[in-house]
Amino acid sequence: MLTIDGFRHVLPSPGDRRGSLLAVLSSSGYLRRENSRGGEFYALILFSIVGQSIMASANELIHDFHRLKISSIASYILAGYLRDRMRAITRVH
Amino acid sequence: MKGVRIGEPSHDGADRARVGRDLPLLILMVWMGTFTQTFLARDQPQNARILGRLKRSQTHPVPALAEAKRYGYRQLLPTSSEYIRVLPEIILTLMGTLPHVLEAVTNENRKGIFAPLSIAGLAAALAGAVVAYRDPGPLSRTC
Repeated sequence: MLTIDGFRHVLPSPGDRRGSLLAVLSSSGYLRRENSRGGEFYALILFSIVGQSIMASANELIHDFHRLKISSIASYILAGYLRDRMRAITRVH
Repeated sequence: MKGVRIGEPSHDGADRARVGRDLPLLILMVWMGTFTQTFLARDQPQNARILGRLKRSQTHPVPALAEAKRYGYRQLLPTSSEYIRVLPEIILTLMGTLPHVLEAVTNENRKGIFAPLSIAGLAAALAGAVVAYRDPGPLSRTC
């Protein structure tokens, strides 16, 4: 099911977390400007990272697929997060 | 696409080119649906192997389950070191759930706490990854 090894701890998951750290740092100002400071944005980023990070340690294709789904659903919602913006709506479609 | 109502055919060249671009995909879809054996026949040896493995597992129980029946189901529970191996994911899941819970009880002026909270969660998950790396291995004996 899951194997915790050097590959998972050295390459993908810390990289994901550093990337998401940058995303959170850069998005907080933007969300303040857009007047959308809900907690679900950060929750979705964190859940997306959970999916990606477990995906890195999956040793069966079916588990890899499940984790990809966890990650992609959160990413999909994030793409259309600002529902009243035209660009966000077109990203979703 | 401009000026075309839904349900009416479009005479726009760009629209026709778009349909033409998708034509190979449509042909492939019809082919896959009609002549399924073209594709499924390639999977037959693999499917037979999986079915054989399933039949064997029905006659010979999974070792972990047999062990659990003999020594009790507590054997199936993950140990503390196995929990530590997924410590970053546990931290991230908890910190991901926390904003949802807090949002219900936080007023508009204090919603700025979510960004520092998630940064703290990510930093804690990074620290958790360092701790988890000290003891690599499979997540559970039953896997």
